[in-house]
Amino acid sequence: MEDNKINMLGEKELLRDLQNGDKIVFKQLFNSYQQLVYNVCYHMSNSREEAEDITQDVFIKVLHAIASFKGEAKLSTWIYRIAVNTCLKNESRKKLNQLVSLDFLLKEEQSLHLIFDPETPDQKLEKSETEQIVRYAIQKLSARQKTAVVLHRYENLSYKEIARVIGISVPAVESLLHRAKENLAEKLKKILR
Amino acid sequence: MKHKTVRRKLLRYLDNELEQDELKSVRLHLSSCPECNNYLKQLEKIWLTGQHLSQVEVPPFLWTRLSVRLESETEVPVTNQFYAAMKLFMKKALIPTAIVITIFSGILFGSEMHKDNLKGNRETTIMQDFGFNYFSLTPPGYVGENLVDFNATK
Repeated sequence: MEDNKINMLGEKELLRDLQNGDKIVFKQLFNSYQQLVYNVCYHMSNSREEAEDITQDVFIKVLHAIASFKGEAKLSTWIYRIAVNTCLKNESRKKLNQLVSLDFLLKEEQSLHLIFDPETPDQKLEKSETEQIVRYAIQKLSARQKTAVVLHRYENLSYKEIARVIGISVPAVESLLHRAKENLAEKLKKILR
Repeated sequence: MKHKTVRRKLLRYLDNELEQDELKSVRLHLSSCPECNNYLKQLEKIWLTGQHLSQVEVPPFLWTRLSVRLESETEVPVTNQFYAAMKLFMKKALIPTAIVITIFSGILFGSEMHKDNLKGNRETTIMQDFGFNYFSLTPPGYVGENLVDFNATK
């Protein structure tokens, strides 16, 4: 319904209304893109609580930066870019905090326990468990490789779209994903052994 | 092809992203290696099942929480233009001014300390050069010590 409204309005009109500070249009934008943003944030952070906070941050940034959006890229690409950048910033802040506290040792232990928990007879649980293994391995990739894998695997973005979001060329995305998948295979090999 | 090389290529194999020659060599290796075949099955299971679980349910009341945050983060509008200009000036000028003051006070303090040190050093070197320190009122073990003792016994 909201998507239709946005389609009917057209991106240009939507932008004009947003830049004029129309709160109703902002809510429509939120309804249309909340799933996309939350998905990216969840797959980048691997935590529901963090994803919720980052999603809020992303929409606040969108609201503040909408005036500077010139419409050169698609609105969704622009929002993807803000989401990815916010996630990466959050991650680096988290790493910095981990340097001064030892909480990460506990979290690491918990996540490993979650992965190797042998008592999961239910098939659904098993599925989520195997997925958790992949997510855990993805989290261990470098920031750029992780971003490319998340956008490719979970968001089904084309190489061209990923290139626009990250701000690199299409061949660079190809080689980034190539290296990411080789590294991922290597990490999964260690876990599956 | 080595096991390690093949296993690194298996995710791209599952996503049909291998070049023709790579694909041929991987298939050739898989046809003769039960270990790598078994590994491929495991990998396929975890890699392909996850793709269907990509959509995550958005938590309820996300909009409510966001609007509360937006309301709390909205700054009070500054009506007085002079006040706004002053605020901007303070923001831009305060930090550099503080840095400059700190540097200058450090230089001044340092130069004063240096002057004191020079003065003290100069005095001690003059004293040493002319042997004045031997003529202090209470020199340790001065020359006439024995004479005093001699006089006392006499």
